[in-house]
Amino acid sequence: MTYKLLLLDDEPAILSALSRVINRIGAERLGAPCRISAYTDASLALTSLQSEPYDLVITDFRMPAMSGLDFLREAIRYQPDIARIIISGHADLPTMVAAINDTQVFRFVGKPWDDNELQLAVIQALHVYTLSRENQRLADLVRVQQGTISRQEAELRQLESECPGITRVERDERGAIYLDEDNL
Amino acid sequence: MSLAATPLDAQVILDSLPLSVILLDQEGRVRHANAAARRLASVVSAGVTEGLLSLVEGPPPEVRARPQAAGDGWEDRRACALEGGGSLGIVRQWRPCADGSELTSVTIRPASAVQPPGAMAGPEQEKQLLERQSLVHAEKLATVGQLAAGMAHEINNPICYVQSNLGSLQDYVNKLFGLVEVCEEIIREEGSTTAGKLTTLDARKQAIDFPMIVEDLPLLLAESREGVERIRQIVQNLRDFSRIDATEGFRLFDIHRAIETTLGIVRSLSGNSIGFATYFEELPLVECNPTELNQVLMNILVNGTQAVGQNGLIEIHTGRGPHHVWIEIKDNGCGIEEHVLPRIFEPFFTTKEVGRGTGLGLSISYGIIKKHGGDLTVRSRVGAGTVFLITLPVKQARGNPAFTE
Repeated sequence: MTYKLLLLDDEPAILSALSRVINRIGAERLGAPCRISAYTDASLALTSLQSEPYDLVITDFRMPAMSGLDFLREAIRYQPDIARIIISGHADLPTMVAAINDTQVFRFVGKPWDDNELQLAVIQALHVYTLSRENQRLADLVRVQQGTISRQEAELRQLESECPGITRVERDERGAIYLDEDNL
Repeated sequence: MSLAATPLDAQVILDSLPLSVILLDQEGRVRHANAAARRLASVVSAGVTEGLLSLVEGPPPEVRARPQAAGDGWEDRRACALEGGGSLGIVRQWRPCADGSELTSVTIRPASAVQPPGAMAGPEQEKQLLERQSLVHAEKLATVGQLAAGMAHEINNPICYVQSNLGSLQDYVNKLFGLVEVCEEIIREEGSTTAGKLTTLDARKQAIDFPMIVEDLPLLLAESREGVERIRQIVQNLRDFSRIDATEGFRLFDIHRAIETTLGIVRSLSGNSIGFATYFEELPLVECNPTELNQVLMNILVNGTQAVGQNGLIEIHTGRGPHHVWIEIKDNGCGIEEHVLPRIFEPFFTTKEVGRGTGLGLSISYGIIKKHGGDLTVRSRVGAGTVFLITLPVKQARGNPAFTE
């Protein structure tokens, strides 16, 4: 298993610094190796979120085209279970309230961040994420055994968590299926 | 000998004061104006003389009639044009006090650099110059204050990654030191073959992800260096801009350098959403006060960044005539409404919300350019954008009092 992380910040140098800090955690402390995808463009990051399953997303708060909050609101439409961390230099109260209430952000990390604190936040976020996913899988297993949901439904949920969007087929008015050639 | 003054003595004393003194009665009407105040009033064109007197009156009756909570008050700011050119900024403040009394204050300031000829005598002129300098300085500080939040963000970003990169660098260096020690051990180790030694070394290298460090270390250093350079540049720009140097007068200066300095600050503060483009023609060095010129450029550019939204573009063109140079600053922002346009150089006139502008920026800019013997004009259309044109003489006229000051 490999953890997949998505980083978003309009500043490339911040992205490399963040990647270094996260890579320094090491697979033994994290429980598994991790793969980082870094984006400076929110819309490209969202496109990736539509097809790639991620475990954790870390985003800057203040970006020119789209705020970190708006990005997270979009992101959880595609992957509701994803763990999320916001990094911000302006930790004003309304922002934090919106982050917690609207997007249930896991951690709010200040800028400049403390490397240890950030590493700990990443480890904990991934831990909680893994637990909740495992929890979901086991609960579905029990439901199948009790007959509350069919094996097919449980399978669909599992599939959706591994490949976001796979169970939602888009059709046009004549019933033809849209295929995104980039994702084939 | 009695020192008690008769009313006539009091009037003589008041009239001999260099300060303007205006006495108001309880209703806020002018009861008496001393000679200096009358002189001030007399330079106002005939139609406005009465207007000036009414300007120093207290608040209108309906304000007084309103029940006032303690601490509430009334404020009125306006500008008043003088006959010989230039203008006065008049601020009236009125506040009822807790004990039932009232406090009225009226501040009259010369608000532009152009003085009405013969209006002021020696010591007053000096006082005005001081006041003007403090006003110019206050406006400069206000501009910097407005920019402080953006500046903090701009400096914070590079600090973030440089600081974090130093942590990573320490980690890499520790690993490399460890590798050196391993090398030493391997060399000292007796009885092992070269092939065996290499295998041990390779294993160790793999453990610390040596290829990754080799690849990443130069990037880390380059990025950090770039970050520190960015911070240095911001601080340098800020220092160039805010240098308070009253003695600095006119000197030969490169206009393009002034533009680059100011643009550096404005660019770093406005984020990436605004594009800036410069089209410079070759210009001679211009006799000017660089600090003041920076302030004018800053004012116009900050207004520009506030006027343009997403996808804003600010263009700066420069060029020259036989005896002058010009700087054109063009934005594609919201533009200025036609009825507002004639008033934008008036002191205390602002369309910005309370706390975002003092209303002095453009009026001071205008004063500075006029002092240089140049001209500042504006063209604007709502929805299409605004163009400011600064014209400056290359050489100052020897008779310019500002130049010889």
